[in-house]
Amino acid sequence: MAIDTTSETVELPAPAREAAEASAPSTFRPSAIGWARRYAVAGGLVLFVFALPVLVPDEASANLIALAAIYACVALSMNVLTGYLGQLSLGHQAFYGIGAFVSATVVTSFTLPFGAGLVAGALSGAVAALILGGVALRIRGLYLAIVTLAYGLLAENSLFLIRSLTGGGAGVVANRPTGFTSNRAYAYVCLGVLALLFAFDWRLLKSKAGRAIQAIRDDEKVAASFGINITGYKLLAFVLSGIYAGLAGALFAHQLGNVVAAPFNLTLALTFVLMTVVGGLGNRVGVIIGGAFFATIDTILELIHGVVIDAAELANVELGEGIDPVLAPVIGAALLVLTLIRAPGGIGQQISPIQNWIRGGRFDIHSMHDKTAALGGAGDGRS
Amino acid sequence: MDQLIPAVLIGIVSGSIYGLIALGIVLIFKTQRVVNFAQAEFATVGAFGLYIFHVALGLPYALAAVLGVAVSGVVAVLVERVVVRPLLGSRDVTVFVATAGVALFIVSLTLFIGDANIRQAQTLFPGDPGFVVSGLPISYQQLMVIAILLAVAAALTLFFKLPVGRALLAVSREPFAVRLAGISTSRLSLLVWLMSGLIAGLAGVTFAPTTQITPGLFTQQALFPALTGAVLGGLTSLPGAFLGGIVVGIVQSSASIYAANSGVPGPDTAIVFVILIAVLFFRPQGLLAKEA
Repeated sequence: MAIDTTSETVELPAPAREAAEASAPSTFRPSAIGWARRYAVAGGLVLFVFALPVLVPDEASANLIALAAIYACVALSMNVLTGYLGQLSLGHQAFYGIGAFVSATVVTSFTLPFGAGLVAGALSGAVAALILGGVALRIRGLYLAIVTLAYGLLAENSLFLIRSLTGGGAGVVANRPTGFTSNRAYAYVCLGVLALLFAFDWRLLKSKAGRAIQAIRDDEKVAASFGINITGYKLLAFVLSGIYAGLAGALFAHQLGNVVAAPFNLTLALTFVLMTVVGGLGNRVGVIIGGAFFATIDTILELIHGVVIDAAELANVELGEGIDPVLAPVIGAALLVLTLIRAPGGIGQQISPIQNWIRGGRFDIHSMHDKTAALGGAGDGRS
Repeated sequence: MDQLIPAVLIGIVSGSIYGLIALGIVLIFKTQRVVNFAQAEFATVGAFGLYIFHVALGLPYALAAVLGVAVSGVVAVLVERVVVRPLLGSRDVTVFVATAGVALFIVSLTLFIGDANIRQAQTLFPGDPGFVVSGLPISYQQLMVIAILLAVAAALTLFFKLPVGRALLAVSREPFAVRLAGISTSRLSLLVWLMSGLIAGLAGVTFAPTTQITPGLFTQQALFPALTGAVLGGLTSLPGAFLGGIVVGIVQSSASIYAANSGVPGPDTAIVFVILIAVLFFRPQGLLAKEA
């Protein structure tokens, strides 16, 4: 049963093969069955995501799904600024926190419905982002990154500590809407908002505005010479990012039930950057996976640890008790550096063969390198 | 007016720490166009080193301090080799994000190793009587912080008179020409990171005993003021970083004292934000920036 290694099929040399393949994709169209397969897989994936709150074993896990959806919304928000516009934001905890506090205040103090809270949260996030966007018109690149850092710190150390606005240590109560008080139901609210944002973001990128924002990222001067309104579209990107983040913050507030200032710190802002970069800048699905991953990494680690402990008990080995919760950022930071050095496209780069296939291309594992947005954007610093 | 002298004194002490960290940031930016987000965390590494070697392992104080500084240097060199070197040539913001990842990594690692316990390192002066200036107690350890800043500044001034220092200055101007002249820019880069790490380590070891050592101590308290100090000084100017750090320290402590009863929380962060924005809007080249 020896396998004949010197088979007769003629292999093209690598360059010739690549040239042959490069000319092929433009003519490739999937057959009707091919399309059916693609729709089935895509539909199955969407269905799976929406079935998750029911599939998970308990209410606590459903809460985790809600958090994953919220983080995914933040990842989309980061993606607008960093992926599409090319501007790093180290102060996203500001928009997120402002959205959370405003929504909680609107629902609790003004006794308005939950929907009004979401809208108010989104608008307040937009206003907060618009202010930062105004600064971004004068300052660019690295210096703006420092300014966003400062903006987030200002919100964290001053704004969120004003007792009359945020209730000091006691926080602000933020009830869930009636009918959606269970974790499973609330997870559907979060997934619904995520789906809306996803669809909006998808259409946005196909629109003139989406193309203009990306053109500014690639080269501001060239974009301006094509008549693109730099000021307007930059501010638009900031406002959209603020709306997404404010919405996510509002969802987060009502998920917690009581908002305090403590979670909106620099570490959270860095986590947002991590999950977006690791997710893959400019890749919508990638950053959502990144967000969901970083929202659930603690629990995943606990699960792995549980399995290890069980295995160790079977083998009569003594191990320490719970896993350290700070292990997650260690892994996250390591992933970030690895992503930046080895695979700048992040998770989005890894899943792009699947995305291409679903869009009607051939399944080609080597198509990973295309369409990755570089971090940084146009301009080399100050204006 | 009776509050002014204490405000300035406290400001100079904290400003010295900002100045030390800003010096490291500027040193790296000058030669590589990289802003090191992890610079303040190198100081925390030094502080932890001092605590671990002295309190946990029982080594003599002086030895523990030297080892703490050395650990900071080693960590900085590691960061240069593992993280920064592979990313040189990519966009400046990319490297900035990577160093932010390094900072988060170190914070988490120190948390992982030693929990969030509060640690207290002993001061260099047993008992540390200190003295009182217009009602404000100043410890000898705090004077040490200022002395270290002055010493580092003097050492750097001397260093840039040496051939190696001149080569560094040349790299900041024309890296290509420096390579043509047969000087290894790779080694210079390593040297710069080692120096920055050692400076941060010195800051950590001397400042740590005046406060409590917690994970992320310097990133929380000193990174943003130090960055602002560096930007204020022009980001490429070493004297600028020195002065910028002290100016930010004094303004910050004055704001804390005078706005203590204003009802606005965190006046020190707010005032530094105002400085940063004002500098970037009206004098983006900084106060003391020269060419390069």
